[in-house]
Amino acid sequence: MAMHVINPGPRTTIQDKGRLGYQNSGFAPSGFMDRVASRMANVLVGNDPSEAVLEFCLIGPVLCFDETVNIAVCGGDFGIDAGGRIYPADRAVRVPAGTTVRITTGRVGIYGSIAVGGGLDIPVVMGSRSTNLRCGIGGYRGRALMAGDTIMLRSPENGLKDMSWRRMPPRRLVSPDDPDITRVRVIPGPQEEMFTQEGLRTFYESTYEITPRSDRMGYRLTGPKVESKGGYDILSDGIVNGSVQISGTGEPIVMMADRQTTGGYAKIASLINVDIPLFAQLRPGQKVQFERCTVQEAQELIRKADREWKEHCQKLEESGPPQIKVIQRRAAAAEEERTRRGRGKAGAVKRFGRR
Amino acid sequence: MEYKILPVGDSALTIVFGNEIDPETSRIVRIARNYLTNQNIEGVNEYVQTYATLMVHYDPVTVGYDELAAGIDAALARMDLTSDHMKKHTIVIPVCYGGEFGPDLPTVCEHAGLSAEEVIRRHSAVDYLIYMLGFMPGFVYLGGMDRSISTPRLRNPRERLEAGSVGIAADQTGIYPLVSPGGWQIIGRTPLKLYDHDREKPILYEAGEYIRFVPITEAEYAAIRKQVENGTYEYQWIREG
Repeated sequence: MAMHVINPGPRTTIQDKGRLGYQNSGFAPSGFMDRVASRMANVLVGNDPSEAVLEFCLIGPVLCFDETVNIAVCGGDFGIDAGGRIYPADRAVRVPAGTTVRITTGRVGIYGSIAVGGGLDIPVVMGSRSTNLRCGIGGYRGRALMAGDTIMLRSPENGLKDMSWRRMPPRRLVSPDDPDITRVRVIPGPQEEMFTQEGLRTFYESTYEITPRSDRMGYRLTGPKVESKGGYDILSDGIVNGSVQISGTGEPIVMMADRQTTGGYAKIASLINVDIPLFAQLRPGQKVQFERCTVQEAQELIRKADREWKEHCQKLEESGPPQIKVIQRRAAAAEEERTRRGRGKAGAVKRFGRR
Repeated sequence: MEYKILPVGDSALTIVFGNEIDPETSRIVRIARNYLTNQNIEGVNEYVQTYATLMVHYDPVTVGYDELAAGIDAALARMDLTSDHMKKHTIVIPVCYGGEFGPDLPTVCEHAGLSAEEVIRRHSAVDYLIYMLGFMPGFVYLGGMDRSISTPRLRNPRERLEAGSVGIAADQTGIYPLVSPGGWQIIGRTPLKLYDHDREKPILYEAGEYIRFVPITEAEYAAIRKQVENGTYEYQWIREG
């Protein structure tokens, strides 16, 4: 029972929750760029939320399975084209054996996560199946997928159960068509004191654009230069997912999943965890504005998101095929409500996520 | 012992013990890492040691910042600073300086006002303490470099440096174990594989050990490289105690 890669897409890798516990030796954790999309996709097909997924950037792979499987794609308005039938993101899709599966790309989101029911038979390296491209370890032979690759499934019997009724409420990601600037919340520090008052005002009051020189290591932003009191170099210290470095050019770089573990550029602030997955889904050309947040507020948001996620999962498990109509009605009502409320005024500032 | 605790995002904090490259500060950071690791503090996932700080990665659903910072304060108050003993272990790293392998050697010479021979002599005259690993697997941050050869890092980092590149950034020197982008002034390259996940010990050394750079010629570089690729190269260690 295997998954065949007919066309990998430009950069598709295997990622899970990440290679944790080795940062002191310099190993980046890698892992999901959008952990919310990845755990949604996994739960939809009955996997553990931290199971390894196929993560693609903008253009998805073309796949074929030997036997019937349940799959799901999440992370943007991607879709699954299974033998010509198109299914939207954020739902489970039962793919009959031998069907060619393509991923359709819409206008919103950049990193897509494809979960395959039963999980992929990928060896665990240092506690994780995540691909670390820099080291050539983890994932499928330590590299991005290539045409002709075959990956076995761990529990092929997963496909015997039809899960195609399972759906998750779609997240609201910020579309490139949306004229609004995205607000991203950050916790100041740990080197905030290296910047002048003018520099801090520039950082928090300006708009920064995501450049095409952005990848799994970090997103380079362009915009007004942030003034420091005397250079941007520090005695190298630790970096986290979402650390905002100001490099020698005075512009921000936001460190992402394949970041280095330590570094020598001053870190003005760090993205809060609940905003990282949505920030990760912004495409080059999209604009952000940074907004201060306290660590206590950020941690309250994490706990709230954690409770909401558990409720979503519980509802999903309690629901079943007979209730499809109820879910669809609810989704339709929610959609209608969103349409009725309409979009914010052009140029207005909008916060990530559902309130 | 003075320190301060600062949040780094909402899932990590840093304990800042100083702001200098200093063996005594490093010793305190190392003791703190070992001590806190043994405390098994709930919610903590891992510790990352740097020159003068200890980063604590934690799960904010399990433990909040205020509670964790208070717990670390209480633990550090009980810590015994005399508990650390390390024998000196030094690994020999052969380096071919200048030329194609060290494109920034002229920049360093110019900045220091020294000849290439003198920069190489000063760079290879010291046993460097490995203060920390980071930035990428096996990347060492070494202390003890002669400040007369200090050179600021590049204003714009290079997109690609070869594995084994030896460089200088301000008062620091180090090696790139993997192909990487980077902002250091590159003065040479080692033929050794510093990181190899097929080897029993993927990374040759750890924090607290020492590195000695030994200048080699291009011909020696080629010969050692061949042995490394054949798996016949014997790594040279100098062990005391």
